[in-house]
Amino acid sequence: MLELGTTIAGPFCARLLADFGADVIKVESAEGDPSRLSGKRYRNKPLYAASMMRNKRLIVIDLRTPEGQDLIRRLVKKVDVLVENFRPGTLEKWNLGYDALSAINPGLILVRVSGYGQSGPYSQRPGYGVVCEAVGGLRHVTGDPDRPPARANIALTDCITGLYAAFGTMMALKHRDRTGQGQVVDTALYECAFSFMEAHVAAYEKTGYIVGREGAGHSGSVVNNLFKTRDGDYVHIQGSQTNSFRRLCLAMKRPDILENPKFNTRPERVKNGDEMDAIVQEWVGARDYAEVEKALSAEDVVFTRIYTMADIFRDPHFKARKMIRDVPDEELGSIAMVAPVPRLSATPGDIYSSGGRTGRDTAAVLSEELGITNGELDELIKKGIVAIAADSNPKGGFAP
Amino acid sequence: MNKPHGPDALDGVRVLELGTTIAGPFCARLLADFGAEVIKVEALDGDPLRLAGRHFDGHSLYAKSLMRNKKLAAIDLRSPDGQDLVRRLVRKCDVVVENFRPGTLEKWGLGYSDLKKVKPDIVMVRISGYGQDGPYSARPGYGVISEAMSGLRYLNGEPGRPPVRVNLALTDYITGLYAAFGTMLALRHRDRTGKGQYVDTALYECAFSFLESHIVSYDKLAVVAQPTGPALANSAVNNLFLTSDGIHVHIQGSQTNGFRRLVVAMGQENLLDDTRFNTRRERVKHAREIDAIVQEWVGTRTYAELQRSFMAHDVTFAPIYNVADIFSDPHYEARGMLPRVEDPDIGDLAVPAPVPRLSDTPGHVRHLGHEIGCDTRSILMDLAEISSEKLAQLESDSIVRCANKT
Repeated sequence: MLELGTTIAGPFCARLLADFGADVIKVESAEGDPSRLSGKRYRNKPLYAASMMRNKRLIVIDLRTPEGQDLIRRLVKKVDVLVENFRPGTLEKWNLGYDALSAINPGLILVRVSGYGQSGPYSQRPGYGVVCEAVGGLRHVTGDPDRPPARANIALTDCITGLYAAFGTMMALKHRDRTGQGQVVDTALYECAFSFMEAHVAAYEKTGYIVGREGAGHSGSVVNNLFKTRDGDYVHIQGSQTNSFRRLCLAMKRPDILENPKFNTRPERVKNGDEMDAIVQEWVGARDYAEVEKALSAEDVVFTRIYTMADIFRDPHFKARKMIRDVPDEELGSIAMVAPVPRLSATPGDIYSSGGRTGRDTAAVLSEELGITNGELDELIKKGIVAIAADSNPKGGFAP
Repeated sequence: MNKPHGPDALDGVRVLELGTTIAGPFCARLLADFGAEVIKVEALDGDPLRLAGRHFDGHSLYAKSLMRNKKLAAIDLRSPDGQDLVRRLVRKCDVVVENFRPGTLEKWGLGYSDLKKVKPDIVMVRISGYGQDGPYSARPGYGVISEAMSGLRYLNGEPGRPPVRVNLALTDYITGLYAAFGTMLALRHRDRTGKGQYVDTALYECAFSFLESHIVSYDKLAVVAQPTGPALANSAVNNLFLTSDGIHVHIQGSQTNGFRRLVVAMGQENLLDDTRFNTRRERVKHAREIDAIVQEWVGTRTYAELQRSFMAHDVTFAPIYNVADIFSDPHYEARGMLPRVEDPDIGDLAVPAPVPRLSDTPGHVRHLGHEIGCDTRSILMDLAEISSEKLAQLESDSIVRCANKT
C-alpha cells in the first residue's frame, strides 16, 4: 500500500491497515509531513508522529518533480492500494490521477480522502476536519444549549473519515479479489461526519425538528445525565430503563419515587426530566465521590466517573486488556501507544515499529521494490528527487 | 430482492444480526448498504429502537432509517426452540454480528464455540461495552458510559465547565464502524484461508483509539489533556466567532497562507508585520490576542458581509450547520447525500447516503425498515428449511412472529 497523505485522515486510514499487516509505504516530502511539527515533543521528537507513523516504511520523494512522479508510477505497479488526501485535482495535475494509474495497474484501488469529495460545488475547498465537521452538522450538536458550539479536543472527524476509508478499502479489495478490477473510493470528511447524524435527519425531514445541543444530558432519556459530587467529581448516571431506574432509586434510598406517577414510567420521566435530574443531583451533591460510588455499586447502578488520561493509565481494565502498549523506539527507548482495535482472534493487529525519521526507509524501499542501485540513488538524492535520513539504516527500520 | 444496479462489493455475503439499538445494528447496516444480505433477528415485541426518537404516523423514524436494507425476522432467543432456529440459520451465513452482554450468547448455546460447530468458518463480530474479557467485561455497555471511560467525554466541552456530549450516539457509531472494518478484515482472511474467527469490539476501546495524540504526551510528558472549548489547541487562528447577526462561524487561518488571506480579507495587512502574529509559533503564543482582533472584526459584520469578503479572499471558514442548513445546501444536493426512499408506511423519507463512495460498487438504499417479523416466514422456510406446519406451530407457541399470515 502506498500512502500519499499528510497530517491525519489519510495517514490514519493507512495506519489502521498497517496495524493488521499491510505493508504501508508512506511517501513524505523532504521537509517531512506537517504532523511532525504538531503536538508535543519529547527529546525533540514529535510524539504524535511517532504514533501515527508506526508500522509504516518511511520514504521521501518529491511529488512535484516529473522524476518523483515517475518513481510513484513505478511503485504503483507493485501495490494494491494507494491512499491520498490531497485537494481534488492535485494528483491529476501530477499525472497521478485514477486514469493514469489504473492504466499502469488495472487492479489498483485509489482511496481518496478530501474535505468535500471529488465532485460538487465545494470540492475545491481545503479540507480541514474542524471546518468540515461544522458543515457535517456534528459541531452544532456539541456543547451546552446556552453556549456556543464546543468540540471534543481530538481530531474527531479526521479519525471517523480515516476509519470509513479503511472500511471502503477492504470492500474494494474484496471486489478486486473476485473480479480483478480496481476502483476509486471517494471519502469526504463532511459526509463521514454527517452519516452519524442519521437519527436527526429523518426527524427533521418528517417533523421539522431541528436538533440542538443538550449539554451533558439526553432529552429523550431520563435519568441519563452528569452529576457533581460534593468534592467536585463528575459522575454520569444512566438509569433510564425500568430496571436500572429502580436500582438507582434504591441506591438513593428513595423507593417512594418508584410510586410517584411523575417518574414511574419512561415517558413520564422524560416529561419531568429536569425535576428528576434535580432529585438525583441533590443526592449526589450531598456526598463525596467515594460514598456515591459505594452506594451506586452496591445496587449495580450503571454509572461512571469521567476518566482523564491519568485515570486511564492506572485503570485495571485497560491494563487487563493491554490497551496501552509499550513500543520500542530507537530515539526514546519506548513509547506508549493505543493497541490496535478491534481485536481479531485469529489475526489480531500488532505494533511492529514506532514512527521514525523522515526518509528512514527510502534506500531500502527503492532498492527492494524498484531495484534502484546505489549509484542511481545518489543521483536522485543529488537532484533533490528523494532524500534519506542522515543516519539511515540501509536495511530500513521496518522490523521483520 | 430486486436490485436495480450493478454488482455490489458484498454480493454473496450473508449476515445474521443478533443485536439491539445502535452499535451492532449500525455495523450490519453498513454491510447491508454495500450489498450484504442482512437478516436482523428481533425479539417478538421488536427492537427497543422502534420506541426511540421521533415518530411519524406511529412509526419510529430512526428505526425506518437504521433498519434499511435489512430482512427482519422475529425469533425468541430466550427459548431453546428459538436458539435452535438461530443455529440452523448460522449454517447458511458468513457473518454473525451481536451486541449482547458478554456471556449471554454462551448461556443460550450460541457462543463462538457453539456456532463454530455448526459453521466452522463463521466470522463472529462481537460488540460490547468493555470487551469479552477483563474485569469490567460483565458490565452493561452503554455508549455514553463507555465514552466517559474512554477519556473522550472529558475532552468534550469548555474548560472549567462540566463535560458535554455530542448530541448523537457518537461512540456507538464509531464502534459499529470499527466492527464493520473488522468484519471485512476477517472475511478477507477467511476468503484466503477458509478459517473463521471472532472479532472482539469494545465501545470504550474504539472511542479511546481516537485519543492517540494525548496518549503519547501523557506517557512521555505527564500532560493530562484538557478540553479546549471551540478552539484547537496549538493552532491560531482556529476558533469560533460570532457575527453581528448572531451566526457562529469557524475560521481556520493558522498556516502562513491561510493567515495572510484572513488578515487581507479583514483589511488588516499590518498584522503580517506584527511580531506577535507573524509566525505560527508566535500566533499560538498570542492566540487570545489575535482571536480578539478577529472577533472584533467579525462581530461588527453580518454573516452576509463576512461571507462576501471571505469568499473573495479564499479564507477557510464555515458557518455551523444545523440539520435545516444541511437540507438546503447545494453541495449536499449535488453529491446526492440525501436520497429520498419510498416507503409503504410513511410515503417516503430522506436518509443519509452510504459513505464512502465506491466508484464501481457504490452503496445503495434499497428500502427502509419494515414491520416486525415481515421476513420471518420466507427466511425460516427458505434458509432454516422449516415446513409450513412447523412454522405454524412455532408461531402459535410464540417462538417466532410473522407479520402477515398467509
